[in-house]
Amino acid sequence: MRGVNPVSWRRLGQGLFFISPWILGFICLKIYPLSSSLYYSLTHYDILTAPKWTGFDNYIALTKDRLFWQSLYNTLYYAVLAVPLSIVVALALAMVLNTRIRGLAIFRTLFYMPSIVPAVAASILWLWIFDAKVGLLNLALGQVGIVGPGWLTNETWAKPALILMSLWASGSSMVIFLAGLQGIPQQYYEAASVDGAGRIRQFWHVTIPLLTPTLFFTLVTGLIGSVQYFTQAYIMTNGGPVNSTLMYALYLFNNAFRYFRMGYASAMAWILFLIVLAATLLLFRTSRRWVHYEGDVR
Amino acid sequence: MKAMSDNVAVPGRAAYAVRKVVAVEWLTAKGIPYLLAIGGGLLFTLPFIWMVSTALKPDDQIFANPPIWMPRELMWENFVRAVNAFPFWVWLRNTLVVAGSTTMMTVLSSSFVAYGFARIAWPGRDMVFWLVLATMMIPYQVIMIPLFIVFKNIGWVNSLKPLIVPAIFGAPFYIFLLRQFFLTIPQELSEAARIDGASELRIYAGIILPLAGPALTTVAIFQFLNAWSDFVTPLIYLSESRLFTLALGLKNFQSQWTTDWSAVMAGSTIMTLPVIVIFLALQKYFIKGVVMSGIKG
Amino acid sequence: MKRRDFLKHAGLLVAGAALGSGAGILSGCTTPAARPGGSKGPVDITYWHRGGGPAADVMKDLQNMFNESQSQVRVTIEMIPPEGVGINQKLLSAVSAGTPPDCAYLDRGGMLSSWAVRGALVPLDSYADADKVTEQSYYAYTWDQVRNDGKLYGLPLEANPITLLFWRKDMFEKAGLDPDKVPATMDELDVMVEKLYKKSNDNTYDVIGFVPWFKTGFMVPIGNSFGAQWYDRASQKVLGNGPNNVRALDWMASYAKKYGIETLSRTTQAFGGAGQDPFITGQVAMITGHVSTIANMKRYGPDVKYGVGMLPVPAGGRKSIYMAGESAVIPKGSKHPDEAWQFIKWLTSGEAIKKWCVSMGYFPAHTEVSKDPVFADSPEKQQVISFMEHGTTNTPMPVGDFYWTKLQEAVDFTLHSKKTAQQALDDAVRETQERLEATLKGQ
Repeated sequence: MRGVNPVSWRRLGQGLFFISPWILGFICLKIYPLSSSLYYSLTHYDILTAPKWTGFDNYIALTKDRLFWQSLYNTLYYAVLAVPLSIVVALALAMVLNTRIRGLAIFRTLFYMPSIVPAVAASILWLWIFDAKVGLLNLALGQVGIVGPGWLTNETWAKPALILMSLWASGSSMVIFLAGLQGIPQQYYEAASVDGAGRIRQFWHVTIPLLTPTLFFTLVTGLIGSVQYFTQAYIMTNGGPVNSTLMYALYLFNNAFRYFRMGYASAMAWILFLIVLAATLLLFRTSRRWVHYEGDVR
Repeated sequence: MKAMSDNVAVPGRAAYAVRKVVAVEWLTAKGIPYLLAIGGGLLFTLPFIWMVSTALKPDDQIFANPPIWMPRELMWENFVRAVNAFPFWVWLRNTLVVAGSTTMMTVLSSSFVAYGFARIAWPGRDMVFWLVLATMMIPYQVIMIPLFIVFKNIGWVNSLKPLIVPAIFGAPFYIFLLRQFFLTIPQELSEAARIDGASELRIYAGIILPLAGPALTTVAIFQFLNAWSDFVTPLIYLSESRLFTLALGLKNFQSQWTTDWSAVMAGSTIMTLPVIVIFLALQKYFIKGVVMSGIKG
Repeated sequence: MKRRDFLKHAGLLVAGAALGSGAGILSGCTTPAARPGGSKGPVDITYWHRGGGPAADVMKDLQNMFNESQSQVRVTIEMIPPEGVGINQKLLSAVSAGTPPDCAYLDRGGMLSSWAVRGALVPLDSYADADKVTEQSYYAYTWDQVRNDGKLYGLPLEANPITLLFWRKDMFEKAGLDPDKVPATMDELDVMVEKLYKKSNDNTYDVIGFVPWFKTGFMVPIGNSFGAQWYDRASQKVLGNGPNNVRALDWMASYAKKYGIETLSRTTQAFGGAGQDPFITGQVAMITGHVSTIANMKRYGPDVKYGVGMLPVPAGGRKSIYMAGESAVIPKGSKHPDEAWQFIKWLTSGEAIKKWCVSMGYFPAHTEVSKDPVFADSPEKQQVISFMEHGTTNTPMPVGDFYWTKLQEAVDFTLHSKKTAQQALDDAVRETQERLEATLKGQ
């Protein structure tokens, strides 16, 4: 492409030298596992005896496995609700904090803190909060005369409960949104209000377009986070009641490390990889239509 | 208190100096946000308070309805009981070994790689950098099984090594963060050093690293907390109780002491408290890191 | 010039990486198995046992007892906490990684035969013959469970009845029932239970009379009372959906319908309070429980008046008490199988197993030790011993763990009215059969 002169050769050497840890890691931690997982997915492998080639048996078996479909559904349900909801909550909180109220730092701290609580500790805490009889949530509902459901023991409520819990940790997106909001020049709003735009119009025509890069970022990371949703489900419900919180990652884990069906679990892993790949590509594709980078607007 | 904030004039609104309008404006611009911020802040904080308060309650107050927020007497014994019920100090030591060593290694390797992406212009660099970003999209579950098989084959299962060694390769997210930071350091600094005959390695170690203190701190905190909280990797690799990290240990403690809520909450508090303290002490690095990660996803 | 520069850098990097991983290895790895055997001193071996808490303390004592009793072998006992996925998985991964302990516990009913089938265990027949350890040494059914295809793979540790019926005499009296009368049939039980339930005003129960699936009320033990069959070893057929199995599950589900599965789970979720058993706190009037419940009652509820009995007999069923326990095995890849044998033989007999069982409230599988008066030191225990002639177990099979999980899943489906008992068991049996065939083919 560019002129291949001695200087760029030397730079190439230096560059590759510096990124060599990453290259090694890329090969050992990404390329090799990805390709060998494809191989394992075509075998029967219980880790005690050598892998045995079975072609597409695992994939065919998966299409008939009701738990596979159930776990896929559960994860989609979670992703489709938790990701947008946490964006809404994060954005709302960020907007509240962007009104130049006093004690911004304190509020930001309060909203952000839950997102760094270790997942195990958070799960145990919410297990306690969700308890049907003595949990904080139902005691509070009881105060206003509502008999709360058995959040984690009722199959209709278990997934919403996990989503509710995930909203508690939306503080990190809030910080990003807040930075985005603070980066919007005040002139834009002033110009809009001179044009006679009210608060709501300003929100839709100034705030949102200028925040689209941030929205896009939280959407992508949220999606990738939610397909990996594991720890909370593992600790709080272990997939129950009646498999209503059997998340994809949990079922994959069970197959791999509980039943040692490494081939079967690898097939699940590859399907997950393809799903994430497709979803991300789709998001990036459509992003051209709705994500505006700096200077694009107006 | 509210009167004070009342005095803060809303900019560009002097034209509507009618009292009533001002009052309405104040309400929408300040009053409602305050209400929401305080309400939301309370909502977000309550679970913490509930955790700590349960951890300090005597048995007979745990199930009280309506709930008791302030225990009659503070039962510090609950913490003692939790710590004595399991090999807490061993687990803490393991956690610190993993978190400490991975933090050191990750900071070193990630900054090294980031230097290659930010400070040397080599052909194809930006394309490779996109590849770095793209690998962040690969879910752990996809590579988990082959990695386990590799570690099993080299006999590292049931040791802390699988938790530590991968850190020598650097992590894409930290490489990204550090690259962004390195880009903000004026190139002239490097050029001047190069003219003086300094090697890239010297520029990295002697000029860039010393200037990157805040960014390195950010990465160090992130990695430390990640390792502190990590549950999945210990779950997969560790068998013997003496090797457990706190995260795995706490889960284990909870499944054996299910109904001893005050002790279990004390355990959760012990696990959470250091995180909160680190966060409060180093907050600005945190926020900077999170904000940086959001710019230009 | 440039090349040399590059090489220098590369050298530094390699050194750095080596240093990094070296630090990791130093700090991370302290596997005792790495210690050399040594020609003079005692041979070091490792034994993995399950659990933590009180079990760890007892095992610590046993470790000292063994190490002081002789000077050839020095054992280190490591506790493997049950971390949720099932406790034997960790051992399996250690075996497959080629770094197993020299000897370990293993669940007799669910896991041993599936491990034996895959060649993960060392056969012990030659050791047993040499040391005259015979089937007379242990209860017959426990001996049966540690054998596969005519070979011996482990030594039984405990013989624990796990489906005893415990009832609160004081609560019986309050409900107007005869506190000394055990329900003899399932129908009788169902009627008695009705009187024990007490509804609360917040859509839960203040008192639960009895829930068949609570505590140790698993599908297999309950099924055994109904005369259910589970597996035919000769034809390798999974049988769990026969009429008796379905009747058992239907009976369990009748409680879910009658008392409301939703209300029941709301209540049971909240059970407890400071490590207390809901039976001790009086939230449940009657439970099916493990024999160690007796020891727990003595420790945590010494004032509670309770009775011990067997599960009532359903119409057309049989008297049955489900027996469970672990075994000690030597995994493939054990570095010191001879010394390991010496240890597990010691651990499963004599003073060692006596101490273990007495401390934990268990019964030993070793016939001679089980005759020790210490195991009949209370009327309750004497009663339990008299029940043991009705002991039943599951039938060991190559995918026992999977099967058990599927059966519990079937219970879950039926209780929540997602499937009928027949459908749920049909599905469980079909999936287990498929899995079984895949496993048998896979070797």
